[in-house]
Amino acid sequence: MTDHDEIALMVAAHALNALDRADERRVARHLATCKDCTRAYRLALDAVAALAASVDPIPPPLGLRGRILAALPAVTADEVVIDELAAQRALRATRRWRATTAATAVAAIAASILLAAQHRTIDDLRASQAVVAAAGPVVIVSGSTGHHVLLTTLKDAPAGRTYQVWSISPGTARPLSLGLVAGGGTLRLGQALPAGTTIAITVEPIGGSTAPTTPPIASVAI
Amino acid sequence: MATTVAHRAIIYRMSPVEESDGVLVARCGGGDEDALAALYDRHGGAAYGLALRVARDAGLAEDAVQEGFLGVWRGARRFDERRGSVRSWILSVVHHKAVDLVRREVARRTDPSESVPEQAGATDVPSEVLASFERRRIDAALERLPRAQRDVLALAYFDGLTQQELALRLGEPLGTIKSRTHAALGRLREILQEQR
Ligand SMILES: [Zn+2]
Repeated sequence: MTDHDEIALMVAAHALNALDRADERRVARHLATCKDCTRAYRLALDAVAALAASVDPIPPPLGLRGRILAALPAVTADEVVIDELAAQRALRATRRWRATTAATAVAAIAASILLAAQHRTIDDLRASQAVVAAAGPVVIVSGSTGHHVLLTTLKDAPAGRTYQVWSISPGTARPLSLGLVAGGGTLRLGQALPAGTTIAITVEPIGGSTAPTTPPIASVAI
Repeated sequence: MATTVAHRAIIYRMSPVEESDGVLVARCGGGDEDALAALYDRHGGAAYGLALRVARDAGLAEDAVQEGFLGVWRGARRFDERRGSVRSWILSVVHHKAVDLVRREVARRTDPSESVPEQAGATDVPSEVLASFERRRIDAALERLPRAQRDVLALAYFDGLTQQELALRLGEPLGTIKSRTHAALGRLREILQEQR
């Protein structure tokens, strides 16, 4: 019997986690080099997934969630950079606006955007204040100018990823990129978006994509 | 959902689209603990149910789920969605931990078939309705397996017996057990496909 023949008979047991450590290592080594066995292993995993799905879920003990999260190992170096950036940004916002919460910082940024665009009206400022109460990203349309501004209130995108904003208009074949935006950032979407336009946010590789590559994480029809 | 503010500016609140499991795993890979918490909220019940079924001990099951989710956290960057669903992967990692823990405890264990715990805690919340259909479908498929094949799958997967332990338990040659396990899983897959 060749190694392949012998191991082909153990692939199912491997998928069931039913091999002892020595056999497990042996099969894993073979899988790294054998396409046929790898394919058989994936099919076996499908059947094992069905076995797993045959078990009734049971609510776990209440404290377990917290214990798992508390036990997570520290993030690695490139993730620390992102966290520091987020912290610096939050700090800057706090200093500039003496804001004490992320929400008021967002409202302050909203106001600044509308100010900078010189389309300040009392009502626009009220609108930006209303953002305080909003959970998640919002699109603000300035009543005085028709400018559309997107405010994100998201966590920073995962390492190596960015948020990208799209408009999907009736009658256009594919989503049009409106630009990239940070987790706690703003993006001017321009004026006069056609009625029925949907604004959506996706997570994309750094630099953005020419078309969305992941399902949207948030969307709204304007 | 537009909220008019003083008839001048309009705020459109973007409704969050539920993030796919794949996006959550990607976020875990970036060190986002909230994403792991979300995966736990979605799949923790299935993971605990499976771990308890294998470990038959609440403490061991809890350890298996905890170690399993830590494994998910560490392995998130290597996860490849083409190899199967996130849920299957999580359950596979948790199952592996449960089996490991059980084997370490094996000296303290008596006959596993004697101490099946009550599953009184099982709940069927509305979001679990689809899953319960799936469970019935799989139960029906398992029913159609020949008894001997069903037994090796149950002893291997739910009791955590290695192939050698199975041979010893059933008093049959190791080669026979290997062939039967292989055939049983293949047959289960065929039946599940026929049902579709
Ligand atoms: Zn092979």
